[in-house]
Amino acid sequence: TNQRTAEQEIPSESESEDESYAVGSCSDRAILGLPPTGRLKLEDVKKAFRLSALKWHPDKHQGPSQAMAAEKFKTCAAAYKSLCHALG
Amino acid sequence: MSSLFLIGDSDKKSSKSDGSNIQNSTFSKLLNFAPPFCISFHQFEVMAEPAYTVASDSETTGEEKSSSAFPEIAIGIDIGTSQCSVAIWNGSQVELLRNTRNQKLMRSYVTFKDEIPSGGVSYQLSHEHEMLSGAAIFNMKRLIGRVDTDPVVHASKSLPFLVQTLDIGVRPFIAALVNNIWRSTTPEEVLAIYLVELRVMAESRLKRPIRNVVLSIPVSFSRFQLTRIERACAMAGLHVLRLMPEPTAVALLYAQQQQQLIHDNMGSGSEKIALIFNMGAGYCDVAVTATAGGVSHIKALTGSTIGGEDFLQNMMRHLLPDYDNLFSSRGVNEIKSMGLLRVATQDAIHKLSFEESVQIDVDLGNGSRICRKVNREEFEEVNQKIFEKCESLVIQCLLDAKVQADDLTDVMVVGGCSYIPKLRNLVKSICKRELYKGMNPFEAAVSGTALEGAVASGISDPFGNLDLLTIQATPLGIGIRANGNSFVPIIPRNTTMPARKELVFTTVRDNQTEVLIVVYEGEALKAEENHLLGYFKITGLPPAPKGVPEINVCMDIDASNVLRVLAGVVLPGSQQPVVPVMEVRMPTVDDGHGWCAEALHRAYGSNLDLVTVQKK
Repeated sequence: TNQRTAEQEIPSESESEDESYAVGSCSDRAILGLPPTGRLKLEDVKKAFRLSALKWHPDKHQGPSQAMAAEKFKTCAAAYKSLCHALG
Repeated sequence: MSSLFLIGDSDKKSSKSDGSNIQNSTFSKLLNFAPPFCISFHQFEVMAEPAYTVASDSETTGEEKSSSAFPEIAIGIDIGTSQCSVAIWNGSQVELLRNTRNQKLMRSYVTFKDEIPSGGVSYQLSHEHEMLSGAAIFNMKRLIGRVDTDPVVHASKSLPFLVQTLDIGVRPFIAALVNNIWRSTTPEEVLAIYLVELRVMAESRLKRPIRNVVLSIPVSFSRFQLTRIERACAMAGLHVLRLMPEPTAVALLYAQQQQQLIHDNMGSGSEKIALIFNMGAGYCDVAVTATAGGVSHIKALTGSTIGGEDFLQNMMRHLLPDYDNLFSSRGVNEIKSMGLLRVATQDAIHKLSFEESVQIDVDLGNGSRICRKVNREEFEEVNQKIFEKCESLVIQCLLDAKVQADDLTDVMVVGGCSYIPKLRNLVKSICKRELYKGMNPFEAAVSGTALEGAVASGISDPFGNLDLLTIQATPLGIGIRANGNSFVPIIPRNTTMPARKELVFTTVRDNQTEVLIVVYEGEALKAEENHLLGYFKITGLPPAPKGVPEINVCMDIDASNVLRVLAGVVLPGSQQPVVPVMEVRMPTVDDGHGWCAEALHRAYGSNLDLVTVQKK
């Protein structure tokens, strides 16, 4: 779906949709592996967060890598919250 | 002398400014300059260690996990107010373990009849009434980690053993009647004895030593109460891998079932919003979860100490209006009468879930006999306040999750009270949905803890049955006292865990050299109405006008739900911390915390006359 939204960004669209191009900081998008610019849908943000969670949640890491994963997960959760807030 | 007030909200700040997130906040910068000065507060508790506990009462959280090639699968335990159960991922599915009497659900009690106490896992009661002879302690889940000013402890005085209070904020006096002598005990000790039996049972079934466990806990438990649960586990030789709020365990089971449907090509992969209502004998909890791709993301949690025990007590007082007078003294005869009434009432309530009316006929042995018909409407009327509270918990949880009833895909009612028609109806009516039928209401929570046990132990399943994850949320807000006597949350309720958040505070007096950080957990606006978790001072601040020093208070919850509070001070124009950063693991308070909160208030309360300043 990310590719599809990237393709749709060129044609002119209504003003309300224009706003969603600017929504969310580049760094928040990057943290969740979303494209840095372009239209953003809540559904895509949710999906990206779930994938990051499966990758970085400390339950998915045992032993020494767990603490690092937890740090990474906290960053993802903050980025997710910030993007949801921006879209909401 | 020791005063703080709030400068700004770093959370709001980071959502506005591009590229600033928690990682590169002031606090992290501060941390890079100086290695944190760590204090670890160990709780020293003087407690006679009875011979039957098998391990020392040591701190166990945050321990290194064993790095063997075959990770040990943690077992899941549901410690209920009334019943307990144990389950494990057996390699292909969740299996509930049975005791020698072939039971999957075991009564939660410990009898101090002989030299060696025995619990409901192994012990065979000759009759239900034996549990009510004064020798058995139960409802430990309602009593654990509570001081004698707690209304829940006061309500427990009507149990057929001894619960005495002095109402001064200390441990209540709890005792079992053994050969006409009161034998004092604690909820932790009772729970530990019970857990030893559960462990022995699981070890004999699984033919291996058991160490790691995932326990389900009520949503409303404070972090102090969680330390009591961990303490009881440590006494029983168990290491707590995870503590899961009960409805989140159910949510994980639901996530697994939804994945199963997709594997069987019967479900869609779209996000499903579910509400879980879980009411047992002691607690009522609600969760809203968003589930997709095996990931259960907890959106909101609400909970309260209401349950079957309250239904029972209300009914007993309804049947015997003179209840409290009759049983104000605690002799063998009073305990026996209380026990008889309790059993008869419990039985009647159970039957009223399936019948419109029920005949009660019980001779209390003290000259009074209760012989009458009770109908369902009567039961519902007597307990109206409890049903109203249940309603408000469901409504609050939907609100907190920002979910409308129409958004819900599935609604589950589980736990010991789940067959009560009025409860089912009220949940159905608020959620505008029929109830989900895919799970056993008595086994759902323990099954979820067993799944979490497998997932958090790093077990994978070739068929993808364990490609699951629970993303937990904080059930209560955590913050500090500032702006006078206000509670300022730093990690708000329903924040995704693990989490780190920080806020900036400042001094209220010129040349203030000390700052007192008092950490609370809860939702109340006034600091002292929340649960006190601990306190520490930052000392040695260089002289500066009031409002100048920036005091960063950061809270961090790690994978094992361990809370650390970090505090550092910088002066404007300098990035260097002016005093070493303090890092303290919470909670630091022990049983005297009722006293402690009051004493702190007396000593420092008048100095905390503060104003919030919003940072631009």
